[in-house]
Amino acid sequence: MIAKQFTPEMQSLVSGFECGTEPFAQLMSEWIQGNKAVDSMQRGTRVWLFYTADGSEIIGFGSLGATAWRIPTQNDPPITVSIIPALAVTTRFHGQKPPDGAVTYARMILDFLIFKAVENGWESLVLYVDKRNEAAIRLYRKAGFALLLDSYKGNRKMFLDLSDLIREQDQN
Amino acid sequence: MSASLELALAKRLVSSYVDESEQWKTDHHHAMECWACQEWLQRGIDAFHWLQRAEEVFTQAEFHGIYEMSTADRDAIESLYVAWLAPCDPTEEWVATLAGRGYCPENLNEFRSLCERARRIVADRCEVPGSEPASCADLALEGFVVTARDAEAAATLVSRKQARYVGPLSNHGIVEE
Repeated sequence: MIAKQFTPEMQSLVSGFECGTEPFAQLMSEWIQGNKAVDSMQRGTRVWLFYTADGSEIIGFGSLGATAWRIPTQNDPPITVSIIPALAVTTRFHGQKPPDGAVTYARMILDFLIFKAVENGWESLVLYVDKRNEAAIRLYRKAGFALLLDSYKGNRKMFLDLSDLIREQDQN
Repeated sequence: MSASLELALAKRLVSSYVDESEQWKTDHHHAMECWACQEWLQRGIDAFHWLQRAEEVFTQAEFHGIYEMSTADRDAIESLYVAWLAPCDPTEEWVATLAGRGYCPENLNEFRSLCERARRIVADRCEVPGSEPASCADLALEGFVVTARDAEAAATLVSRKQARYVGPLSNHGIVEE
């Protein structure tokens, strides 16, 4: 899989991007195709497009920014965290793995973003996920994200403690 | 002469005493009702705090990886918020009646702020048929400001990270161009 940093000039490449018919999926398509990705990039978010190894097809996109969250509850003080504002895989690649791969493309994109989050340096990675998007919730859970009870406008908040991942690796 | 004056005065005093005793009874009744309302509000306040406490226990357990909340757990907590809100409107009607008599329970503001919190929680967590979900992306960077101190702290952290997610991406079958 190839990761290429997304720029506004590349928007024509995603004009046909389609990742599902559910409302939350459509929001993701609109995000990358419209102004939202560019607006988000102007606020510091980095966005990548992911291609098949031969570069012929777009698999999906992922993004990474930073924000301030109160975790695990609204009673806790705000801390700065990395956040995945948007992540989507085209319908054609839903649940698919590369020919020689051990994990799905979605998981590879997520792993890439986790790598980048660690580079960012914030010890926590968070995201919002639509409460109806069970496939995404499963994906994030498998990667170690905890589902917080706190939510916003029908979106669940999920949290990954990156420092735990670091400790795990140090022990290995 | 003097006796009739005294009788008139006595009549006035007795009449006043009798009349005001009726008013006093009414005032006492209203005051007692205000107390009853205050106690009722306190029951609601206490129940809300217990609910928040229960939620906190779940959230902390999930956060620390001790317990994974099930959909049933979440639904149970959400339904308790919905249930808690049910008496709010009748209670407000009671409060309005008391206010019309010049009484106001001392804990009314606290109760109302909890009502508002519960409404927000329910609005956020429970789906409204036909409503559009909020764009996660729109929410993501809302109100975010990175301070220089934050950036410095991050740089320090980066320097000591030797982790699974630091290193060549190619190990994970990803090539970054």
